[in-house]
Amino acid sequence: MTEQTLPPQESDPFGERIDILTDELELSIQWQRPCILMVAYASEYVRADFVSMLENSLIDMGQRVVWVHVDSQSSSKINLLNETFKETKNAVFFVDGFTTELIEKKDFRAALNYYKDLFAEKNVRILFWLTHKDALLIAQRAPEFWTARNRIIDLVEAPKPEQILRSTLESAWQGTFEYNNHFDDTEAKITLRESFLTELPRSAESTGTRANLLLTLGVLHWRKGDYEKADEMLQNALKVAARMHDNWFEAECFNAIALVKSSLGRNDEAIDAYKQAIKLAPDQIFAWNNLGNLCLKIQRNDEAMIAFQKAIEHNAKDPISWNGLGDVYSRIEYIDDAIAAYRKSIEYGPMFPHPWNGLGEMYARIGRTNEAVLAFQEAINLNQHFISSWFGLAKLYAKQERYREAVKAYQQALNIDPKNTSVWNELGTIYFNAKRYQDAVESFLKAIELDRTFAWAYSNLGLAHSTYGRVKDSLPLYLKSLGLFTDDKDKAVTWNRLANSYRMLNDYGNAIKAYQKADALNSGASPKEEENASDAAVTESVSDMAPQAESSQPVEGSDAAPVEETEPQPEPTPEVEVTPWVVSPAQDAQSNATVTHTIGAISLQMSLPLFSNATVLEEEYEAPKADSTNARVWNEKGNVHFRAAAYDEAIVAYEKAINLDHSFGWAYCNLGLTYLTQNRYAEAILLLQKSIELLVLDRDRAVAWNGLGNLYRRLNDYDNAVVAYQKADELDPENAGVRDDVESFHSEQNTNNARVWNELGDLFFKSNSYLEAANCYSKAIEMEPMNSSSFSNLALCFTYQSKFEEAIPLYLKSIELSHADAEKAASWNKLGNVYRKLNDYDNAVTAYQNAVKLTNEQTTVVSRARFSLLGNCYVD
Amino acid sequence: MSNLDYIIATDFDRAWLNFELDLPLKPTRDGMPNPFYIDRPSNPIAELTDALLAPFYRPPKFFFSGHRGCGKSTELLHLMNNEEIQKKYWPINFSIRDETDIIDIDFRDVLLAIGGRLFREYRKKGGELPDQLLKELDGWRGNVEKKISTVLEGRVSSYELGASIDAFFANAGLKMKLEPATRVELRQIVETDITGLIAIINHIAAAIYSKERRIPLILIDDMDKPDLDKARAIFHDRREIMMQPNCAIVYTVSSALFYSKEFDAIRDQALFLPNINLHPAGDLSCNFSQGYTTLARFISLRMDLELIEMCALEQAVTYSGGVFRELARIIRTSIGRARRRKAERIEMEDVEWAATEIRNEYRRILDREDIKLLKKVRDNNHLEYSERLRPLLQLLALLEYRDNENWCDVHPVLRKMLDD
Repeated sequence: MTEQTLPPQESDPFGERIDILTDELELSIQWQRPCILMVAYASEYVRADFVSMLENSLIDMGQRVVWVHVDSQSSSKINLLNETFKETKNAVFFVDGFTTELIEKKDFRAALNYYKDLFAEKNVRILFWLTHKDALLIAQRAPEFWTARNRIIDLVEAPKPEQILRSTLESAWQGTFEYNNHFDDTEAKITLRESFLTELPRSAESTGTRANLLLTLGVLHWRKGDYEKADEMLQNALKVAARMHDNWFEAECFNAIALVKSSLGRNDEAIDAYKQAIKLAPDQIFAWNNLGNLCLKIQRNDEAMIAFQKAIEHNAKDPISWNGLGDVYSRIEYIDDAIAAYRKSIEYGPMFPHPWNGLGEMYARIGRTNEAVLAFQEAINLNQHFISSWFGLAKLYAKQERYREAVKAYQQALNIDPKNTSVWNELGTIYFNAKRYQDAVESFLKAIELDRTFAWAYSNLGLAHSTYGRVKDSLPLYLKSLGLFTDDKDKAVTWNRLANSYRMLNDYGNAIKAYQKADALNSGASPKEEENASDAAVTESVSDMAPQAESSQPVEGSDAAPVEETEPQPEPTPEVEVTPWVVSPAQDAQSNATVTHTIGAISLQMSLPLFSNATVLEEEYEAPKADSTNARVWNEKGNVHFRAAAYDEAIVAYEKAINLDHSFGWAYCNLGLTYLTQNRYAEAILLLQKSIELLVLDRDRAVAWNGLGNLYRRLNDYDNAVVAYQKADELDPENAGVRDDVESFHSEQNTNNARVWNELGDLFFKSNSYLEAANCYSKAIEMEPMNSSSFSNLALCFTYQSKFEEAIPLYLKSIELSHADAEKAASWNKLGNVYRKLNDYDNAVTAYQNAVKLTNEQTTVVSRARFSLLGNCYVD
Repeated sequence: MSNLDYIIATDFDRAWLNFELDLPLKPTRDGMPNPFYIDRPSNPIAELTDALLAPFYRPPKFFFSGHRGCGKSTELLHLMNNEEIQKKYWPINFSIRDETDIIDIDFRDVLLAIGGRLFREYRKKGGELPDQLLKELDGWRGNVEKKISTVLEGRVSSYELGASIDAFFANAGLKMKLEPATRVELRQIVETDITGLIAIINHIAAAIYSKERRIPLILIDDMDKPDLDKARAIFHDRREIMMQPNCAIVYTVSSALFYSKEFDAIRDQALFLPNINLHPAGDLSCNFSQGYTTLARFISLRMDLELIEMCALEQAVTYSGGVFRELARIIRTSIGRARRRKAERIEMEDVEWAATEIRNEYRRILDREDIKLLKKVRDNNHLEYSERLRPLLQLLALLEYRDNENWCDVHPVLRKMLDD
């Protein structure tokens, strides 16, 4: 048995169908009698309209509509259904959820037969909502149930054109690929619409419907990737549209054609199509938005900006336009404008995940990590499949060394796009940093499996193998990656790695050759560049994933690398808009002397780079432990964070300092200055005032008064500002006026603690402030001349400043002073690196061999040697 | 059913009520036939009545089938009130749905229902059973309950260890109906001593006979509701056991079972309630006035004939194909249309419209092969209980008739479709 189409003369208008059902229900309600009705429909749109109208009628009759959704459990839960139909007074039951599978189940059919008697017994008024197919199946499989019906109403109407169009726009496509939620049921949508198209009568009245169907099919085929078919459908739609003299519709067709052209890479044709659409219907903002997105995609940023602005002109509250504008600003590094645009988009489209993602990217870029995390999380909450946000979140977590969370986030990204090689690579990095080598290996292998030309995956896999002790396995991988790399810097990194592997195998001949290769490739770079050259091994740029993705961490281990290898590229100083009199670089010509002399009151320069992505540490350098009880150390930590624009972290550090020492005036002062940058004026005033009470030296108190003056200026309270400045000048007349340009973070001098100087040196080193770090270590040496670590650290500072000759005696001194063989070995290793930099390979080899001799555990020493050569990594 | 006063309708609203498709026609409180009840021509139920009244050695068992809407339940209710039957039998009528879950029905459920209902109905009507019998029944009950509690292994059970056999039977029925787990357990126990249960039924039946001097007659309705497989398992696989109780039983069976091959063996004990003949086989031009009169009476008992045009009435009867339920459907649908038109009475266009509606409902579920078959039957009226015809019979696309022999014809509303 199959369905047949009803002859047109025998189908009633929509309204009459409603009346029939309403009458039946009305009478059964009047007499409190049972009523079993069925409604067979072809279109969900029509059903929805029908349901809506019927529900309204029933509500007018004082009835409540109780929806019952049947499923595979329904048949076995008679008691449950007895309960469901217990209260039948003033209730009409709507039953849906029928499927072919369900109807085919014997139990279910038996249950239907049972229920029909129950309905009669309990005077139930009930409507069964069935597709035509289900209705047919029920008649075939459960004839008793079918014959029990009072009426069956057939809804044969096709959906109205505006329904199709609206739904087409909503459900079929949205203009850019990431604005839709899912394409899962594209095939089913195509099939349905093709069947509509086939059944459409060949008459003038069906033109509109036909055109809409062709347009929708065109878009659906585009989504599916069948561009040829899409184009065919759309061209047909255009032809039909011409008959309708409907500019709006024609514009939609051109818009859709543009999408197809764009997907085919014919961008100019796509732009022309968009322009056609705009010409036909200038008020259509989605054409402007689409044009903007296309221009953005092909790096025509100015045109993109114009397009989005045009869209906004037509509708100032369009979230898509604002988001697009945000993307443009982001592209051209107008961070604040981008943030503002994204916020606008959020304001007008709070459920739109894209601007949240954009905001996350911007906050991440300027170091507002917590806000970035929240923004990404919000985007994810709105759309779990938003891979960009998962990626952004993962990178942030990795940056914060929250590896477990980073792994989870990458895994989520992989759930969405399991073939994304960059994510696999990133995941490998995280695993490597967390010392989960096997997982790292698997991740890198996966990346390679998906992309056999992924050079970094090969190189990183080699690194993982060599770390895991499988040194020989790493060699062919390095060589493979060298064949694939095109960038000299990338090659240099891998040559270094290869050299290290050769060293591990005691093949110094090949090792030296490899080092020479690496050095040659690096020789064109300035010392600073070398110094900052990052082993971006793990992280390829992920521009294919997200527009703002950054390179992430190098893989390697913990020890600070020789300059040329592994120090990651520090982030460029963000264009933080600050009032000049709040912060500016110290322009003192005797800055070094000043720094040396007043080491306790360091003028921190805002031009210093922020924290780099990878935190570089020598093995013996440790970050200040979280549980340090030294308020000064926390104060300096706060200073470092402040320089990195990580104000939240700075606040935490200063507060910690204050908690540890309530009389520590500088901590109050610095905290107050931090609040000032965040416009938290009230708190800033209180803190600065407190610091004035606590600070002892006039010079120090002058700084605090000066800060207070700056604050009052911000509040346009010039009277108080003048008073504050006068106070400052009275206390420190030598620096009167100069201080206006400098907002300094200060630390209290503590000349009696070499450990503190060492720790301070660590902090500076960590933030790439090698000059300051060297000064601190020098100070430590002055206090403790027999401390081998201080000599070694100082030597490393010189190394990073390319002062290799000066580093040598310091390393030798360190070796001389070291007691433990391991310490000596480490210093010999580093010395070897320095000799290499000076092309003194003989001495380098000797140094390395000395390193090896000093330990019994070959692997450990070799590993340590490799770590020292591999560069700046954080090993957990 | 306070609104159901079985009075002739003088307006469309009441008429709509009176033509409800499954309106049960229970006898009145004073035992009189329901006002809407009409005798059928040739009175087929008389055959059953005669069979029941005929002498027998063993109380008879009959199977009663018929089309949906042909009036089986009504006829069983009517049979209950037959004077002759009342004289010979002590009748009870119940629906198996009240005693067990018909989706998961088993022969054991039916037997337990028979025994339980017999006992409880007799006691409810004031009958007294000998103490000895009660003692024996109690012994049996105790045995069963002991086994149940053993099976349940001491866990707290909702099975009430009732103080009385009434409670036992009442609970057993309820548990069979509502608790699958208990049902399984009870069945196991019953199965271990099925003859014991039959003996119990027979004891009760004998006691009633002894007291009342009438053989218990059990009319079990809705046995046509379980699906075909379950019905086969009871009436074919377990036929012998189902014939064991020493009381007269009338089991309703579904038309699907009636038409199935397995039923061949017991068709001689079966009665099929046919539809009203409106014309002879193969001759649509000749109307059976008796059939038309019967169905016209069906209408006139429910609705004032002022509410319908005579030609419309006649056309409605024609379209009904002699099936009461289909006539009710046509009239009801016509009432709806006339009502919407705000007409004073049902006219031909309303009846035609109703026929069209019904035809469309079939159009959607019949394919070319079905149409071919229908055309064939239209031409030869040949009835066969085949797999191919059975679905069409069940859907009432084909209607069965009986005069000198059994034959069938296409539902009248579908004729126009076959001519297209």
